[in-house]
Amino acid sequence: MESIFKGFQGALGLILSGDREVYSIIGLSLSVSFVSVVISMIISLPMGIAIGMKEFPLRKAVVMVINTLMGLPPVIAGLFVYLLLSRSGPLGYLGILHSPKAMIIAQVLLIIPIITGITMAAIKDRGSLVKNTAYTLGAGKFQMLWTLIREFRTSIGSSLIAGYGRAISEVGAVMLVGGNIKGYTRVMTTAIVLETNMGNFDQAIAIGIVLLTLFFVINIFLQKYQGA
Amino acid sequence: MRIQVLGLKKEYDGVKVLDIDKLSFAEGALHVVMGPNGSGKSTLLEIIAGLTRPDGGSVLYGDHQNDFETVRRSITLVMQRSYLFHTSVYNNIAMGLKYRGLGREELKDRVLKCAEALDIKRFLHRNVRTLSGGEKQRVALARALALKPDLLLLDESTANLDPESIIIIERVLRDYQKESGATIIFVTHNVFQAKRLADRAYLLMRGRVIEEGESKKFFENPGSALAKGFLGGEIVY
Amino acid sequence: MKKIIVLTVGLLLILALVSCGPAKTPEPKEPEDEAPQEETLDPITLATTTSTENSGLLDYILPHFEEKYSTKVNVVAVGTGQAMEMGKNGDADVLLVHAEATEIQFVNDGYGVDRHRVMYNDFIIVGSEEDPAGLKDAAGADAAKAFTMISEKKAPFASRGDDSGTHKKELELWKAAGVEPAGGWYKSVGQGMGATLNFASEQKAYTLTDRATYLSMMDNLDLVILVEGDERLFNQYGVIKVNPERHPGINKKGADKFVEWIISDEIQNMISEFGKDEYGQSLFVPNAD
Repeated sequence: MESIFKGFQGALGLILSGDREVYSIIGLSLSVSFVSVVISMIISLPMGIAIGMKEFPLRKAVVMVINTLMGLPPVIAGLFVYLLLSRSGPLGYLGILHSPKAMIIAQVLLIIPIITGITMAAIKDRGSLVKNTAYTLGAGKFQMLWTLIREFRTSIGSSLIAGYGRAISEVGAVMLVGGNIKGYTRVMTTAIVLETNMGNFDQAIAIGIVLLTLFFVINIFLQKYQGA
Repeated sequence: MRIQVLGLKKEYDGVKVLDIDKLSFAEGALHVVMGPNGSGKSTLLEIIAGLTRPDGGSVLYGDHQNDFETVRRSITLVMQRSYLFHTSVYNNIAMGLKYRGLGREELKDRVLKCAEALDIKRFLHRNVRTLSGGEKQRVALARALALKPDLLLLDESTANLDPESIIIIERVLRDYQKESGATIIFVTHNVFQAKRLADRAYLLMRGRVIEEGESKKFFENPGSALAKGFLGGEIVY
Repeated sequence: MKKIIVLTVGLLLILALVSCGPAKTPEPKEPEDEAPQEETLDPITLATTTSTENSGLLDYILPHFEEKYSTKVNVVAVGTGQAMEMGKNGDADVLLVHAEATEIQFVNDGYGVDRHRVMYNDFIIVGSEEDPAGLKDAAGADAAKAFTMISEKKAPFASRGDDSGTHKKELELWKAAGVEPAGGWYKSVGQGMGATLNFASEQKAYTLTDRATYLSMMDNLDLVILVEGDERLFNQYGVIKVNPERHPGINKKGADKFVEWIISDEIQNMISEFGKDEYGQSLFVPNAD
């Protein structure tokens, strides 16, 4: 109990500390998650809409694969990306292992199935109706896409919230591909692991509370926009 | 815009839904297409609107035999239970105009005019989910008319509506047609409505044109036995 | 209105991304004409063990190197096994580990260019105050005897279990004691030294640890030093340059400078100073050759 109260004090202390390293950890968590969600969104929304609406051979198989990938254990994505980016791996020449770029790649792999899957399911029943209405009103291809996104914004918003939640809570994959390097690839989640392992429970709890608070605040904000 | 249908064929699951040799819709008239359920009238409209591809045959638009993409924005379709976007009445009516990139002032002007014509001006800032069925259809029609289409297609657009809405919609259609000289193709199974509206009338059964012609002659002295039966209230198909 | 709010938040977050993550390559200094300037190096990836990082030594000495060469040392702290693998795969430029036999093998196999001794500290056996196996009185400074006593009593023992330098030392001692540790009392934790010490503290188990990590965590642990001073508990650290010919992209220059720097007298002195203020004793004894 006392630990938790001290933790809240600690959390406030961290935020007001002006400590560059603390801000770097918090800022990196937010920016890596944000960028990952944005990139995933750009890829997943058109994909999810297309799969949801069109009939094509192998459609059933594709839907099944995406739904399964939604539950992919994150650490496996991490391992996969690690092997890919290691200097002895196929993409080693890029030299981006142990960098925020690698962390973003791993998270994007995890988030794409989530946004695609939820969008797909939402669009399935009424997507054609919306599309045809837009078509008969003279919409061009991009306008149709934009209209679909607006009309299904509630479900799409849910998928973004789910994707973002996944991103900011991620530990295993980002630890593997990022390396938890101080001041460079250390995020709130991996910092908590480190502090806990070193026995600095107060510090770990403080970071944890900051993480939770940010998580809730951004979630609430996203939900308000969803209802617009 | 004149519409010519040539050798149009469409099949669904092995059943012939449309089989029309030759059919013309003259420019600048209100055409009413009738027929029992399953006669292919909706499919015909869908093909003309560009939503479905025929299995064979073609549709020619206007005198210049333009390909579809160039005329697409002069055509619009109002369905039986139209889909309205999750937003205000104003935004719905304005949607097609936004697609075309119309300027703010002119857009507003057109929206207000159409809303007034269909007597829904008082709803303009309400969200569409609060409207009744008849009010929704009036919004859908306002949305279509705001585009000033050369060809307006309507598929059973007044089915199951309250009488006031039907009166308003029919009046607006006739007024629009007279003012703009546009071509209107209205699909209905309601013979009385057809009599009220049609300049020319057509009867479809099992995907084929059974009877067609100028309104007076069509209703008073139809040629075929099937047409006589249908117009007399029998169940024929 | 809402669109504007979203755009603003988005912009703020992008600003966060740009400002908070330090660029991997810092700005190079302008070369002066008069005095010979220290050159700028590209960033170096240093693979080391978790116990080394947890001791705080690197936080203490690395800034000196980073300032001198206007560069960054990216420290990836993992188990010795993984650090060696990173060396083999070319994912690190230089290794700093403490597993002498493995290090020598590494260089002989051609994965490393050479190996230098850097410093040593010692291992100690710690346990709960209750000390059920009676090490305090009976084992003295004999580590192998202590292990024998622990296994006979089947007292709980926490092992690193992760192929690290500490783990390898532990296995050597079991061998010396003539015991194959197995059974419910022997728990293989599979994590770093800090996590293992926490575990031992919670479970009132014995464990083998390096002195530095223990001292830095002492206040938060319910463990006391029971056995120390045995020659076999000597823990030698070595620094290895990863062989650049095996992988393009290895920062050869950086690795060379790093090794040269860490075995220099100046830094060796720094190393011996580390810990004196806080713990009253050095945590590491420099012994570069």
